[in-house]
Order: sequence, then C-alpha cells, then structure tokens
Amino acid sequence: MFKRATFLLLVSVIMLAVLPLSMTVSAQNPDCEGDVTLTYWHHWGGNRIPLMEAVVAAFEDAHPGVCVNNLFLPWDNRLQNLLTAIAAGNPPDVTMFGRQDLPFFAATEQIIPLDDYMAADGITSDIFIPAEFVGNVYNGQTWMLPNPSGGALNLMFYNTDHFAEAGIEKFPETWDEMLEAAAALTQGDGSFLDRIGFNANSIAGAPAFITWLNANGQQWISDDLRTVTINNEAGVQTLEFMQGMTEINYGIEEQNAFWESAGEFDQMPIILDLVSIQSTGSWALFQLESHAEDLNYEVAAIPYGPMGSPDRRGATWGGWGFMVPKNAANPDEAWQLVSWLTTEVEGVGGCWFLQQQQRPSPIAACDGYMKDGETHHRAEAILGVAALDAVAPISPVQPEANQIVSRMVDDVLFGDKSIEQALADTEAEVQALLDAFWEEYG
Amino acid sequence: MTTVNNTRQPYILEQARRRDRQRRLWQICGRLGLYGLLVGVSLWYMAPLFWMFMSSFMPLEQVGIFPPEWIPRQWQFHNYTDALDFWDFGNSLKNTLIITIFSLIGDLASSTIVAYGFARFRFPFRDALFLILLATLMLPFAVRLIPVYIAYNEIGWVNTFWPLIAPNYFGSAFYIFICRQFFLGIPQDLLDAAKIDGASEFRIFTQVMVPLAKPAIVVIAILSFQNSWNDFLGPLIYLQDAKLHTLAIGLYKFQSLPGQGGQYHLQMAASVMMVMPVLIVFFMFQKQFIQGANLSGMKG
Amino acid sequence: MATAFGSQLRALRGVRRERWRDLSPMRKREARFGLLFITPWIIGVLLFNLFPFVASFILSFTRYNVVEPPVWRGLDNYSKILTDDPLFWKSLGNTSVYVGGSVAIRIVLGFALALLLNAKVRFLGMWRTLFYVPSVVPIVALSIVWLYVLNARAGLLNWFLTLFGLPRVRWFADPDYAMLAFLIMSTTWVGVTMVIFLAGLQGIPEEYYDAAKIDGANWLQRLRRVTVPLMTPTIYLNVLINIIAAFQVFTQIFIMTGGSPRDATRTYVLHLFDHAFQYLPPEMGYSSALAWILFMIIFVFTAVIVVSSRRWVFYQG
Repeated sequence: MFKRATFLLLVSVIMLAVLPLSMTVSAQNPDCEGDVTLTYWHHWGGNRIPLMEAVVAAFEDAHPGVCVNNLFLPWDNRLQNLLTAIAAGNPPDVTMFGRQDLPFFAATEQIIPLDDYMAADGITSDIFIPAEFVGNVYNGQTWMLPNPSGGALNLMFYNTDHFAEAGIEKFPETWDEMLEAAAALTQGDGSFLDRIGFNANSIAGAPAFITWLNANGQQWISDDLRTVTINNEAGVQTLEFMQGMTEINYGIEEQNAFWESAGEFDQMPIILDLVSIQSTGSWALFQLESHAEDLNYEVAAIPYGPMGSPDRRGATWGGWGFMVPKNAANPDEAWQLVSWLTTEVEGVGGCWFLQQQQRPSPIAACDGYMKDGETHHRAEAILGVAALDAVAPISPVQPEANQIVSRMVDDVLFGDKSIEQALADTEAEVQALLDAFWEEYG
Repeated sequence: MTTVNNTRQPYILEQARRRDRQRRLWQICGRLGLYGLLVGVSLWYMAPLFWMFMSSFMPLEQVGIFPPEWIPRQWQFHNYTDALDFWDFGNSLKNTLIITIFSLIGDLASSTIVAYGFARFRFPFRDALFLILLATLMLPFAVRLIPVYIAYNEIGWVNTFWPLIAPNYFGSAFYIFICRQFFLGIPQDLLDAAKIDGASEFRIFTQVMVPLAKPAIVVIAILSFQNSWNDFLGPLIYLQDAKLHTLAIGLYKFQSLPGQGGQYHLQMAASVMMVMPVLIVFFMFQKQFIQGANLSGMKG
Repeated sequence: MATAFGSQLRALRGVRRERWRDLSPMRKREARFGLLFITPWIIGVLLFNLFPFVASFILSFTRYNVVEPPVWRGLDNYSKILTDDPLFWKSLGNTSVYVGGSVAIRIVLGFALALLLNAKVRFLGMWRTLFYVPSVVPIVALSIVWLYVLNARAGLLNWFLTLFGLPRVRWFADPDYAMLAFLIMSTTWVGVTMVIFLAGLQGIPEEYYDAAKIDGANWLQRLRRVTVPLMTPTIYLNVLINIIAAFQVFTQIFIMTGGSPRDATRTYVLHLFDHAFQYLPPEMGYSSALAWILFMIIFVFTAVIVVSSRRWVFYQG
C-alpha cells in the first residue's frame, strides 16, 4: 500500500542526489595530476581569461604535484564572497585582492602575513617600486604582494584637436588654468550640454574629493589612519574648485545627466567626442589604442591646487594584489602561486600577464610596456605622470567613508550646505566611523 | 407619476427620439474613447519592449540618437553573436534550467502533498496551522534574508544551487493555498468511492486527487517557473562563481561588464535573449498565467 | 488570501479544541495521515520561517561581522538607527513615497484597466494580453530597457514629453524626479492587479446593474454605488498584497540607480542590503535590526488595514 509513496519518495531522493553531480563545476585542468589542488579566485574577466589560464598552466608545469582550480568571480560582492567563505571555513587558497580592502582584513587577521615566506625565498621589498609596495603593508607586516601596478594613476587624456580649436596651447598645470581651459572647451546651449570640457567629479581610482585634496597638498587622513584631516583651508579650496568646474557644466544636475548617458569604458566619452579632457587609469590605454584610431590625444598629469606643488599631483589609490586567507588549506603551495603571480619575471607569470596587456608593473625588473620586444609609444608619458602621483592612504572603513565623502560633495554642489558646514560635518562623521572601528578592532 | 395629456404626446415622442439619438451619439463617442484608451495604454505598455526588440538589431550609432528611431537602418543580426562573445549564454541557460526544473519538481511534489493533508484530513490544530501558513505569506523576506544566508554559509551551501532549490521541497505557502482550495472543491463522493474500492490514502492521492487537480498543478508550475526564472536577489547573493550564474545575473553583469557599459545595442540583444523564453511560455500557457494571477486574488 | 486569512481566523473561534486522547482510533489514524502529509511544510516553516524570524531578532542585538562570533550589544543597534542614522530616515521617507505612489497607481490604474476590459470590448483576450505582457518580463530585463527609456539625453520618455512641447527631464540625475521615474516605470506592471480586479468585476451579478439602471442611475453613479462597494473585498486584497510588496522594493532600484542621486532613490531594503552585503566590515546585526523595524512597520500597516477593513469592506450575502 505504500508502494506509490515509496516510489515518489525514491524519485525525489534520487533527484536530490543527482543534483550535485549536475552542479559540480570544475575549472581544473584535466591534464594536471597532483596531490595538492589549490583553489584560486580572480576577477580578470573578458579577454584576460585566456591570459590567466596560460599563467596558471605555466605555474602547474613549473610546480609538479600542484594543481590549480582557477575560478573567475565577478568584481562586485567580492568582499562578501571572501568573508563568507572564510567564515564558512572554505576559503580559496589564493585570491586576488584590492589593496583598498586590506586594512580591515589585516586588522582582524583574516589573512596571513607573507614576511616569513618572502624571507625564506629571498624576496625583499626593494624589488618593488616603493609606492606600489606601501599599500601591501599594514602594521609593519606584509599581507599581500602587488600586481599589476595601481591602475588608478590619475592620467588626464585630452583631445588635442579640441585644444587646438579652443586655442589652448598646453595642458593646464594649475587649477585656475584648468577652469579656464574647461570653460573654453565646454559646448552647449546654456542649459543642455553638447560637449563637456572636463568633469571634475569623474576621477579614476580614489573618490574625486580625496584626489583633488591630494593635488592641493593635503592628505585626507593621517598616516596612522586615526585622524581625518579634511576640514581645513585646503579642503575649502578643493570644494570651491569642484564647484567652479560644475558651474562651467551648467550645474550638477546637467553635468550628471550628461555624464550618465555619455558612455563608459570601451565607449569612453572621450572616444565618443563628448568630452575634451577625461581622467582615467592606465587601463584606458588599451581601449584608446584599439577603439579610437581617429582620436588625436595626449596624456598629462592632473593639475595642482593653490596649496599644492608641481611635484605632487594625483593620488595613487589601491591596485590589485594577491593574498592567502588565514584558514587556507594549503598555505605553502598558495604562497608559491602568489609568488608566481607577482614576482615571476622570466616565465609565463605575473610579468608576462602584464606585458600582454601593456600595463605598468609594480616590479622594477619588469617593463609592462614591453611586448614582443617593443616598448609602447606612450610608455614614457605615462611613467612621467606616475612619478608625480603620491599614494593616498586607505582607511579600514573605506567603502562607507567613500559614500560619506561623495555625499558631502553632493551637499555642496547641489547647494544644500555651505562648504564650511559640509567639511565640518563630514570630518566629524567619518571620524566617528573611524573611532568606532578602532574601538572595536584596534 | 404625472398624467400625460394626450395632446402633448407627439412632442414627447419627438423628445424621446431626440434623447435616443443623443444617447446613441454619446454611446458612439464613449466607444471611440474606450478604444482610444485601450490603444493608448497598449502603446504605452508595449513601446519599451518593442524598442528593446528593434534596437537589438540596430548599429550602436543609431541607438543613441534623439529623437529616437524605431526601425533599424540596417538589420545587424550579428549583434546577437557579438553579445554572446561577452556572455556564456548557454551556460547561464543551463544553470537557470537546472534551478528552475528542480525547484518546479519540489514545488509541485511538496505543495500537492501538504495541500492534500490540509484539505482531506482532520487533525488537532489543523486550522491553527493553516492560519500560520497564511501568516507566513506576509512575513517580509528582509527578515529572513540574513539568518538564512548565515545558516547556508555555515553548512557550506553558499556558491551552490542548493539555497535556491532546497526550500522548494518544503512546500510554498501560496502554492499550498491554491492547491488546497482546489482539493476542497473535489466532491467527497469520489473519494468515498475510491475508499470503498479499498484504495489506500496514498493511492487516492496519487491516482484520484492529483489527476483531478491538474489545472491547479499547471498554474503552480507556471508560477514556480516564473519565480525561479526571474529571481534576482537569491542568485545575486548565493551564486559567486561566474560559472554558476543564472540568466538574470548574467544579464545584470552583462550590463556592468567592462566593455559593455555603453554598448546599448548588445545589452538589448542580451535582454531579448533572456526575455524570449518567458514570452514563449507565456503565449503557450496564457490562460494559466491569467488564472494564476486570478488565484492570487482568490477569496477563500 | 487576506480574506481567507480573516475567515480562517473566524473559523478558528468556533472550533472546539480537540485533544488527541479523546479521538477515536479511526480519527487517530486519520490525524496521523494528515500530519504525515503536512510534515514537509512543518519542517519548512521551522527551518525557513521560525528559525530566521527568531535568529534575526537575536542578531539585531549584536554586532556581527561574519568572520568573528557575534558580540552582544543590547539596544545599541536600535538606538543608532533611530538617533544616529540619517539614511535610515531618508530611506524610510523614500520608501513611503514609493509605497504611497505605487500602491495608488496599482489600485487606481489596475481598477481602471479592469473596468475598460469589462466594458464588453471586442478582442478582450488581445487587450488583456497586451496589458499583461510587461508583467511577465523579468525585472532585470525591464530595468535595463527602462534605463534607456529614462535616459536624460536620448531616452524614449523625454522624446515623448517633447511631443507635447514639455521640457526634457534629467530623470536619474535630478533628485526631485528620480523617484517619480520609478513610479512612472511601475505604471506598466499592473497586470496581476488588473487581472484580479477583472475577475472580481466579472463576478458582480448583472441584476445589480439592471436594478440600478431602472432607478435611473448613470454610469458614474453605478460605479460609485454598485461597483466600488461590491469590489471592496478585492480592493482590500490588492491593497494588502501591494503594500507588503512595495515596502520591500529592491531589484529595479539596485540595478538602475543603486540609490543615487543624492540618496533620493535609496530605499529601505537597499539600505539594509548595503549594511549587510556591501559595507566593510559587514554589519549583519545592524541589518537585522533594520529588518525587524521594517517587519514591525509592515505589521502595523497590515494590522491597521485588516482591522479597519470591517468598516469599509462589504461582503455579498
């Protein structure tokens, strides 16, 4: 009498059992045989997937007995993914990691310091470009190794035809010159834009305000990451500059509306001829070279403010690196992979990966612009800009702090708060957030 | 009410005729207005979808112009293959189908079984339990989100399909409700006859009730399909590995993929690919879709 | 459902408590079968409703960052939300605007469309399908299409406005219009509500209208005196369903604006989601407290509607 019920039950049990089979996704190289399988997460999508596969295959060849399960995870939610995997005791052995996210993970010791491994392999910090290495150190220990170079150099790409039309001879050096140039380059009917000269709110890497403040000679937070330092004369000048730039673009609403619909990345506004000067990172070079044969452009450094200096321009911010979570199953082999992805110069490793994309390397011995024996024709200009950028410190509460800072800029640009009021409120708010963090974790 | 004077009758007739004509005129105007409204609303509803379809064949330059154009200047069918270069559609489709089909099986099996229990047996606290079942329909998902997420993480189910499938094997309140209403409508005589023939409770369930409840089951199947196919938040937080992504997440990522930001024509092609299967199912089972919507408004 | 809930509640009052040991062997057997059949649901309700319900309540009194064990914090989360989180109030305000607007749209427009379809039009099936299609399109796809419809420079909606000589609007760049844009978008998904209303309208016996006509009532009077009162149970149901859903609006906002501009579209669930899944360190405890406040708000709304329904909902017979 229970036959049918048992049958039904059986069917559902079988289905539930078959499910995991159909769901197992293995990214592992089937040819690889080894006792150790590393789980490796990265966020390099699109045309970089085959490059990363080549690097991983070369690592497997160079390290017999070690196989890599190479997983591509999307960029957003990456922190959540990582934290929950660590909490569940099932983290990857190696993961790609943003330097801007390091302070929280290091302060709570969710990842392992690499100093001992580095010492054992004879890797010292001086093989790295100093500015690229700073962001990997927290509390005197090294938690990750960088690669590639902080993509977020503040490179100003500008359309030289537009400049010639407007009669501007050289790229502006100071903020006053910048405002003048932008006013001459912006086109529209007075309420709707046709072309924007420059959008000071759209800056690669760090939040725009933090970058401009840096260019005005003021770091946004103290080196020990305990004190916020934005409510000062430099801060006032910075917001005044951003305000001036927005006024040139018919106000914040039109500037945002225009910018939102002006395309991004492959279809960058500068390629679509919708902007004359665009700030973006070194990654844009590839897009410009492959999508804009007709565009005549040059690269320059970000202009400096009244309190700034010509030798200190933009803010190098974040950048990628690789690290090992605290409860990784195979930390020793994981270190080997980290090392391959960052310090390998000879084989198909970190350096090769960058050269294929023509991106700058954080390792002095690796010339990222050198591909197939030829140096990229823009390399010199970009390296010149990079030399002027200073590293902007990243706080352990950066995602929320970024939101608060950009809200402050909006408060001013929308005219809801005076500059002084906005700076005072925001400094207090971020400071409180920071104090709460240090009280919990310090 | 008032007595009508004979001599005034022709006048009154005339008046009545005029009133009649007037009423007919009004009626025609009303009808015209009515159809005007129907057409207007239809245009308002269909224009974005029509534009999505058309622009998926347009060259990129045509998509961004103002005023908008509706017919592609040249039909670029390669927009679809271009979109597929950036999106492993086949894999997303496979994932979505796995989740949808296994959820569907779970929903159908569990909801009919539970509904049968509620509809055909008397047991202590039955009505109170059913009241709880209805109350769970009103519990906001936000309250459940975090603990359930943490629990799945603890047992290692994050980054698998389990969190999206397993809950459906424990009966969804709304489907149970639909099914129970249907079971209640099946005459008791049928069951008594089966019982007299010596059929067991399970036999009655599988051989009498389930076949009779086919209309309700189709409706549940459609609602369940729609639910899994369109689900966004669940896959967003549970499926991390790009190889596990569903169509909904794939489409969302497609839009935010580096290189895709400004590619409206490819975004539209990708959207069309995701929407098409749903529309096909909709046109095949239109009646049941409407019925399903109706049932959610059913008076119990 | 809502009415089912009410009648279930009433039915419960009349029932004599049955105790297990008073049951006859036959009834015991029946009860055992019944319980066996509903077992999956009982397990489900414990696992997926009761457990998270209680757990999120407990978590709401803690600080919990996922990687370290929860730390008891008493009422800290709640006091921070109420006194020191301007975005809580902002998002609650935005959500209220959305709830008010979208529920009104669903009810008024859904009812109007149902009336249109109920006016003995030709090709009823075709119109109903056209009105219903946007409601079956996955919300991710709709969001992507509407991002283009609402584009400030080249969008379809701005083109539509210029046809009437109206100025272009910078929808998602203008804090005053961003939420309105979502409400305009929501006008196209009234399909389900409309179908429910239509079924309700078709259930009104023709005699009522005939009687009203004999009394000389015109169309508007018939609508006010006959249709609307007889439709109150359906209206009640639709209000309830739509309010609960509207309070939890998330997907289209997450995809289309992420809360910008100026947090004008930051809704309650988006705020909660950010604290749990976007910020570093994650604040699961804080989010749970937000979730519980939302639960209580929805509960109060639902209770007010259910209790007041006795005054304005009329049942035939």
